[in-house]
Amino acid sequence: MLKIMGRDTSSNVQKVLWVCGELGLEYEREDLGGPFGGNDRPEYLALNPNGRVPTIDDDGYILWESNSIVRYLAAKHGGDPLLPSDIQVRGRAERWMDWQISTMSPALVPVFWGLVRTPPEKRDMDAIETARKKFSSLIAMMDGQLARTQYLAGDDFTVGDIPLGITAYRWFVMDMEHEDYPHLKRWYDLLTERKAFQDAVMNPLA
Amino acid sequence: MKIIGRKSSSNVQKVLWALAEMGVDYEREDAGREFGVVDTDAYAALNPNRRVPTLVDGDFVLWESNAIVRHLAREHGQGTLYPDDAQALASAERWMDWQLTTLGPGFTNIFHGLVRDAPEKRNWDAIEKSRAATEANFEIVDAQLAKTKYLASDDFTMGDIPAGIYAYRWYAFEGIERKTLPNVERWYAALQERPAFREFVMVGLG
Repeated sequence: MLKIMGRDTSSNVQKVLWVCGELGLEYEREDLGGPFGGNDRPEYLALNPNGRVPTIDDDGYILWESNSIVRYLAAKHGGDPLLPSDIQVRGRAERWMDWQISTMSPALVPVFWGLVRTPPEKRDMDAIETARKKFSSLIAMMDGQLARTQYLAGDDFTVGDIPLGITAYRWFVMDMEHEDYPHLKRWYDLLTERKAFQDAVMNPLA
Repeated sequence: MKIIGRKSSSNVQKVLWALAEMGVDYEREDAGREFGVVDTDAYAALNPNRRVPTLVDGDFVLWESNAIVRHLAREHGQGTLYPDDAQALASAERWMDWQLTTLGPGFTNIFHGLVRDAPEKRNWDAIEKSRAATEANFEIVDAQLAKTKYLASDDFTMGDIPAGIYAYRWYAFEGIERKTLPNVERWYAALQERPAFREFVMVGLG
């Protein structure tokens, strides 16, 4: 059976749990990383020398990097439309996945750490607000795309919605100012109707 | 097909290297840094993220360099740059994602410090941290290359492209401390035998 290593509060683990839910896959999961530790143990580093979560073991095939895991599982168990067969839609879906790791994640991290992982008395609110504005400017880019298409890559829900869907959940639930992004909200509301999203993503932040 | 972006950008180089490997014809327009263009409304209409490269092929527009490389390899490099085997494909994608999440961010301060900052303005503490992080990251690459000839398998694939560009830049620095990594050095020597790598990547640091 597919084995997933990583705590279920990690946004990167949640990508994999969400796609498993969409695909109806059974899996075993082992808590690892964050408060559980274990990701610096030699036996874990032998599987994943990068030492982060998640890692999967699919009948002996070891894979890490969450977005690559999402695409691997969608290719093996799903296919179109989750992993688009149209080469242009596929390219756009992968573009939004790459943009989440290249651009969105570095902007979200200081907001998330400031508001979720730092006690209120230790927060640098000026630094958090500067970071929040940058985060909001990237959310505005998503809103611009979603003004033109139902989902990020086109008319269908695809793997391209998974990484940034998790980002959107964090945008909406963090206790901070939120500019009004109506197209983003419309798309986010669609995601919240998906059972796999509710189960894997719509949980308390930690 | 048109590629927009300056030749000196590592992200543009990924695309130019891939295109040359596959023998695909294209036009290129300079943009970014000294060429500007990325701050124009016309460019933002193509690429709201305002970075380079952007691919324009008729009505189809794609940005995010690794997503462009995968798109082009899917179209022109099946069985060569784009592995046929599902596990080799996922492993190739993993090393591409890892460049975005880990190798690239770790390298930023040493590159900017040594290449772009004037000597009197260098932050040596940040440069040393970045040097140590990059060395540790190439140890991860070395461990993989102890098991396979190239990163995703025994064949050269698109998975070698992003890390290959960083290898050139890492070994091009003069006078920095670098651990001897025999597997990386063997792999890097093999990359240097590729005409496309020599033409588009081994072009100095700028």
